[in-house]
Amino acid sequence: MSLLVHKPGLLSTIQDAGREGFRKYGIPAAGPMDLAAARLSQSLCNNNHNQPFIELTLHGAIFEFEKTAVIALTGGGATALLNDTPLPYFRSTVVKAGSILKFCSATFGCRTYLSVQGGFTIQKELGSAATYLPGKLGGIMGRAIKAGDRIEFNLKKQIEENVTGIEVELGNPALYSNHVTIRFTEGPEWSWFSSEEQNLFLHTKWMIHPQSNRMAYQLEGNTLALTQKKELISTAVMPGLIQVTPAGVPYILMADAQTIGGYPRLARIKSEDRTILAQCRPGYQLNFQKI
Amino acid sequence: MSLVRVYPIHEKVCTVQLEKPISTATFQVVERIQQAILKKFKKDITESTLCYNSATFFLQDEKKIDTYCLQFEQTAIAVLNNQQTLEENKKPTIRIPVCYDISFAPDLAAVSNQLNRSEEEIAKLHSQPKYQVYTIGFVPGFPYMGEVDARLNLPRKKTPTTRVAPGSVAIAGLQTGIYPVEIAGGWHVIGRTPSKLFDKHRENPCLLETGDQVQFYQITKEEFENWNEPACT
Repeated sequence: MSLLVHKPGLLSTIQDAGREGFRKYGIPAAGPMDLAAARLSQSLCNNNHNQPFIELTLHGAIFEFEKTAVIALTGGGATALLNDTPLPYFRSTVVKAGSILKFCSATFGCRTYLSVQGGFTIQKELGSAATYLPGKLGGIMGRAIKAGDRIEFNLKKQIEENVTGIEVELGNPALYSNHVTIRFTEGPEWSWFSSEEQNLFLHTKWMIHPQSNRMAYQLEGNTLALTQKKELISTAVMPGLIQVTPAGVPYILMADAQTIGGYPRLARIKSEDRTILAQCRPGYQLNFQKI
Repeated sequence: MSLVRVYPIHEKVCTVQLEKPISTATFQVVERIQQAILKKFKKDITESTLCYNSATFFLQDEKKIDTYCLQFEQTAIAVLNNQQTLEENKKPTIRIPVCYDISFAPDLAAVSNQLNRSEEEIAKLHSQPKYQVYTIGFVPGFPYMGEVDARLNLPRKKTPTTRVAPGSVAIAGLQTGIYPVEIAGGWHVIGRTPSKLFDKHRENPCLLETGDQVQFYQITKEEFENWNEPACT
């Protein structure tokens, strides 16, 4: 008895706190894009942070609950209907067996986190249930959730219905606006860029390009061609770094980013603001503020 | 210009990078710096990786990243100033079979044309040197190895191939690598290995690790097709 997937939506993956300790094999941590929202959905279900949950992208998913469960939705990017009645985010709810949970379009946000009390039962791979699509690791056979999947709940004990009523709101500006400010510190190669290029980066209204995913967000609005012809020898990279390609296009590395990269790293995004980025969808406008 | 650059790449991660070009000697110095830092700050470090001329450290505590950077820099400089002769790499050489038959090497004919060398010559030049694994990345288990004989130096393809078969052995510039899974790639595929580079079910999922030495040896098409991998450990 489980969650039956009628429609997976744009991209739905199983995640947990992430896969640590395998970067030496070229495997990044993966895990949720919006760590704060993911943790909150877990807390609302009385789960620990490492129990598997689902990350949904925008709208389109339709799930059926074959068994009663306590669930919580956090993040954004969709409006939820439980048996055709709006279901608020940021609180926990008892969902009766046979219920249909549907995600319809919303104006703001990008990623919804769905936790069930006890977590989903997912076989760990290399210590984690987190789906890492480029490496075909974790989740359900290393792939995104698809129609027909049955994802079991880990119901070892009686569900605790009394967790309902907790209501929390996250102050993520990307859930209310499509124009956000992202704070950053200088990246390791900031000084490789001329002051003109640095200023161009600071004063451009950047837009998130449709070619953006869990690995990286591509930015459009200007090109930051390096005037200095210096070559970086490939080295470790992490989510939150902004790399600039030889064509002058900035890319923000996200949760599934490769472990190494060879492009100069202009900026490093403040950790709290990575959760803002996680809720930005293509077309969102970004301003960068140096701290 | 200072010889070493130490900087954060995340609030809990910092990198020690030498201002030196890619070479086995540079890599060995970085390995020594990594060992020295791991020894000195054992309790504070959760994970560490190597990549060509840099070592990266993942820390428990995000509050002191700038302090760690300073301390790691001092340790790195101490290693650099220590004029001890480098010890020989003690890691065993890993031998990897490669079939250079045209049926497994979709780019061999084009490479042969571009370099004006026979396919046999390319196979020989490629399988002769002992390679250093400088890092693992791009996809799980992909080893970046060097240096390839300068006579095989070719830039990457302008347009990547959409599907490179698992086990494909490829070259680009002075580097050689092996594709562990089917994926798009821009390197020139000149052979294929029957060895499994990455298997998530193995105790050690990766056949190769950063720092390993690799020696390729040629096998025939028949040997490739009848290859039986030794039982997984």
